[in-house]
Amino acid sequence: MFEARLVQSSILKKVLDAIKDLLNEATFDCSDSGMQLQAMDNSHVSLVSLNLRSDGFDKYRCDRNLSMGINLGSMFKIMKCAANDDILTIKAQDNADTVMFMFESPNQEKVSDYEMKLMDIDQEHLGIPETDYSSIIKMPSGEFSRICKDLSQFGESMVISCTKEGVKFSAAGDVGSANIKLAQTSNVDKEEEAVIIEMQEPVTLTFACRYLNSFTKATPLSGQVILSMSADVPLVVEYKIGEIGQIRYYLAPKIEDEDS
Amino acid sequence: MSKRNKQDAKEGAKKRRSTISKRRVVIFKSELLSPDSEENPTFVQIRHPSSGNGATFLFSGDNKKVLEVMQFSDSKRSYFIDDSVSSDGDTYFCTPMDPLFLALPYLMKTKRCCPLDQTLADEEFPEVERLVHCTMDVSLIADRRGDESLNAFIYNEEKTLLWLQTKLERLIAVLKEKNINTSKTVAVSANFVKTDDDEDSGVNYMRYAYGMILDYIPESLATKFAEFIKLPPEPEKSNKRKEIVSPSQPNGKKSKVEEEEDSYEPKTPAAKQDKKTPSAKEQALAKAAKGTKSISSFFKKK
Repeated sequence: MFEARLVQSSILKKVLDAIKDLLNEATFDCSDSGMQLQAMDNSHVSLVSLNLRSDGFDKYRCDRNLSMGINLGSMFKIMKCAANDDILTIKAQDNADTVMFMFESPNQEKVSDYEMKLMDIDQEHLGIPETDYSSIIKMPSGEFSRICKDLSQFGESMVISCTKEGVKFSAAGDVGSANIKLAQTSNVDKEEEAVIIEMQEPVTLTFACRYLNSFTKATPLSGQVILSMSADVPLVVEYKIGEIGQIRYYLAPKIEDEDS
Repeated sequence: MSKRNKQDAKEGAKKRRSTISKRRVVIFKSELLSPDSEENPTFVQIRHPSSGNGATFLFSGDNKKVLEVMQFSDSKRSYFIDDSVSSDGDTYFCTPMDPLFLALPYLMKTKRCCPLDQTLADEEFPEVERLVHCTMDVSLIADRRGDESLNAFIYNEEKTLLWLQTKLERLIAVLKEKNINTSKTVAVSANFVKTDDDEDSGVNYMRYAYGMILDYIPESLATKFAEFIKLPPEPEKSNKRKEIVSPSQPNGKKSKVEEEEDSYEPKTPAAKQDKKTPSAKEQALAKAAKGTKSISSFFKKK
């Protein structure tokens, strides 16, 4: 039997909104430690890794490890049925082929049940090695979202270059070129509003704008985004999900053109 | 219709029947004809028990015996018959068969108890009524109800399966006696020494005999019969070779078959996914992915 209760059901709604563009379906692996999801997008260039720790839930029970293959579009439809202040309970039997979502209004006057069919999904778990990234950029998530949106108007790919001076986002295309430079914030009052760069080595990598834009769908989850980069390894874009966990997006860099 | 008989030492009697339009060469044993009967044997069209379509059978003059007619076609052959040539080179072999096989589908079809002459009636093939006069013990496949003079029967599946099993056992005995090769491979090398303790041979004989009986029973009965005699399921195609080669190198072959199976399995779900036409959004995302390395080239599968 699996049961997880989350007072802030809106969190899960935001999580789904953050992944449903990249993934059509995915498997939620439920264990004693919490709920995990790992999946690649259809083109296999990006990977979504979601972790919701069991202690972040208001009530969590998982007797046996459970893998729930879920059509994320369908699940999002169900989540949209919940009011923002509803309390969510996810329930599933051990070998069930359905999962139950229950929404309770805060005053307990309205209770809605949604049962959803599970799917058989071929799982391909990738091992993500521990990496010491040569550059780690912490910045306001809204800022990152804005930069991605702005730069994607100029070109299909975006160059992120991190140096001592700061971080530079640039794109070039038919219209012209665009450069956005962010310097490290000098006086840090609130960490969320600051740009913090931890750099061992300068890095310059190129990524597909559209994917970065998809990642920024997670902006409502957290005020801060952490970008981790090293030469020739995928970029990590991480958003904290309140006190409950985090969502990480991995994006493989573009293959550098020989000419440029 | 002129008819001439000529004794053939080897094959019993060779009988040549000639009609005004066409003459055919038919071979069957002369003793199967009832010599006392004044009636000539007749070819009739009745329903074949296996296919359900019409087929030609030869009934003896007194309708006591039924002979199955097998046609061997050869377009390049003609016969000299006395002083003339018959361009029809086909040979018809008539072999006796158990009329119960012919009656079986009718009994199966008639759910309730019914006199035999009513059961064995077919609008399409009216000649089937001849079966009523055949020498056969209907009680082997059906239960007699009421008075004997009524000649009424109701189909009994259990009895039928037992009867078929007896047939099967007899067939196997004959196959073994005649040393007929029943293994999957028809070609057997000259130096092939058949061993009696071959485990598979029993099953092979059974399967071979079952296949022969299968030609004479309705399809619905075939599966029930296979279950009844506990016929092991036919090995998979991919295993066929394994079956032959296995005694010499069982492990090597087996692992290969397993590998093949493994490599095939994941393909099916992937193929299913391909069927879905991607939405415009997905297409745009796929387009954006161009020129980007695959993420799985960085992260190894667990």
